[in-house]
Amino acid sequence: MMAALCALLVIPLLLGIVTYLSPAPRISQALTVAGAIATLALAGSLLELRGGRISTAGGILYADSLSVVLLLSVALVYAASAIFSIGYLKSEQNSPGFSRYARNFYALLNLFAFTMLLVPATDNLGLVWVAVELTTIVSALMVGLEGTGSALEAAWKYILIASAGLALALLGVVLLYASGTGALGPGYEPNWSVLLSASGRLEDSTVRLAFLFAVIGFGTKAGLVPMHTWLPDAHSEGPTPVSALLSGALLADAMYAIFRFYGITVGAVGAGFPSTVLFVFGITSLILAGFFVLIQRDFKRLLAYSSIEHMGVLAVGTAFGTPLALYGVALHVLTHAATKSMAFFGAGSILKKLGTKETAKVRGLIHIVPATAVLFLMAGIAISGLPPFGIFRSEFLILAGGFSRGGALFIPAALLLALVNLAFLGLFRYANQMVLGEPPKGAKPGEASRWMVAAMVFALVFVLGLGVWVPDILSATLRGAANVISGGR
Amino acid sequence: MGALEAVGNLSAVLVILMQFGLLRSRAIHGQTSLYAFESFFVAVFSGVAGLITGNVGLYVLAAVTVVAKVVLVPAIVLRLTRGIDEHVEVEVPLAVGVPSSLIAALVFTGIAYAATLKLNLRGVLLPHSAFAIGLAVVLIGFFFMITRLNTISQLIGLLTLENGIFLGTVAIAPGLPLLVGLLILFDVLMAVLVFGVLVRLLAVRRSTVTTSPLRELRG
Repeated sequence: MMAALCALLVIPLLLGIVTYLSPAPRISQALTVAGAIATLALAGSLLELRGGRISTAGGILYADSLSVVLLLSVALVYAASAIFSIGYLKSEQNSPGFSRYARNFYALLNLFAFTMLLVPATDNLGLVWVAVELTTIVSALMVGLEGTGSALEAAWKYILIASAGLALALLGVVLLYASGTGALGPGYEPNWSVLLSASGRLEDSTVRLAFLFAVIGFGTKAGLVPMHTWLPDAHSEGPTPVSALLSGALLADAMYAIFRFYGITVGAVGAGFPSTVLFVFGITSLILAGFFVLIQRDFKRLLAYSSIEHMGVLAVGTAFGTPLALYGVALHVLTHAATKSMAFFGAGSILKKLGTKETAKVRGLIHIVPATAVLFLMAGIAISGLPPFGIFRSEFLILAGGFSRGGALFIPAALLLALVNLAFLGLFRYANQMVLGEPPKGAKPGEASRWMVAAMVFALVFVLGLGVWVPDILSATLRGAANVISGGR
Repeated sequence: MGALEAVGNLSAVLVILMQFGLLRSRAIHGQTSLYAFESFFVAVFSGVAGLITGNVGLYVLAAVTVVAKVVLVPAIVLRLTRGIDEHVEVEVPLAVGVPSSLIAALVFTGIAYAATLKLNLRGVLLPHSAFAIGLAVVLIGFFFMITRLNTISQLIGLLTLENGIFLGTVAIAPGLPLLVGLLILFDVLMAVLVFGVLVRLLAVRRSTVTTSPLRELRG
């Protein structure tokens, strides 16, 4: 198991170096696809933990059920993006400076995957913070990779806001550490497992402050409103494979840190305070994202706002705190990763084909790019939370978990239901408009790239698969993850 | 209060003084030197904390801080302005004038003190006020980033923010393992390099380092 965890981290790191040195983009492409799929397989093999955990070198490397859920979703998006990138870069093949662009692109893509896999693979919360900050640094370069004025503006906004937010998260980490010095002595390893087992003896008011800073800080990175302002820009201006990684994998990584803080805070001060905080941020995110989805004119930004909505769903689901809702939350991390990548791949493919991001200018895709159109429509239906796709299942579980508790949870649960439907209206309407109707004049039929379609089909396997069937072994891991989030040991 | 605590307190006070000074400074060079001095006092505080707690890791952190944040980072920031000299205005444009900024900073300092009064931290040997000062530096750093309309100043503001957190960390969690501290410093260095790349690219593309043209993306 430990070997699998190590290999899963080493592969993308090595690939990052190799692809930077590689003489031909073709080699980088092949290596990256092979490496990413191997990473996904290794992450899958960790399901064998079945709710257990592994730890080595004082917790520097560590995995429990919650880690496995995150490793799986990051590796899934990484593999899908690696496939999609082949098609995405194809259209630029003949532009000047292509080999340099491809080299930077692949080196950064692999390093970005490495940093994102590092976040859930350690027990040390100081290292978690360092890894999250590294993801910012690497991905900001990727967002700015196209080198256009607006891409650079987006990259600047992103790295500045995210770093400032993460500074506050660091303050949260430090405060949490300080809250334990009374019980654990002045110098101890800042590990999740250590803090969790001592959570009853942590200093109350300090833990509260630490949790607030952590939610604001990591929440900036996760795109919770009102710290979300960098997100739509970075998602829409970056290259599409990066948008998928940012949305499907990175946001969840940041939420992961909040999950961990939540468990410890529940142990220290009870569920009331941390749940209230998450309700406020979650519901605010849902409201704002829901309305922005309704009025958005740029389809990549539309998907970005939908990501904010889904992070809101995760926050509210965590706040419900019932085992069923938390199971739904863990599943939602996975289903959102698969579905949002698929949707971004569709958007990226359409953007390459028609050269516009404006929803109004895209019509009749079914006549121009039939395969992409059908897949994009399916992704649209899936992302709006309709059956038979995965997000329907996870959102349903979260809602059922909220309503099952009854009492005071009824209002937020009802709000969640209403707001999810609002976003559904917006997304579904746009997806319909883009796919059906008369195609714009002069658009030649023919898919932008077969690789892009392949990446969407790859994602669809999970989008649909998780909707109709959750294998027992995955279910055990999800139950374990729910237990970890709630502060169980 | 012993002599060591006095030196510790003094260096913490000097840190916030530098932060106030930053609000008055309107040239990139001046801001960079103030940052270097501020980092130096943070390092002194870390060294003193090492003496008080007997934690050797804090000496190492102090030494690394001097190398990284007093020498390397300021050098990188100053290099940034070279080559894009023609795009760097002599005076950084302000969204809020100097006198109002200073009053705001006073208010932030008060808020930081009030917020930390209630924290009941057991097992802490160092002057409690240093954490409040760290928090005040963070708040002023944010204010600085928002009101100084220049990409390099925004970077300096972010760096001072990190200084404030470092000060606060040493004050309330001096036992945080050395490895974590070193990795955080490494992160800061990497971030500065990437910020540098972006500042230069933006300067070349927009032929300025002011932030006012960065308004294309909204909504």
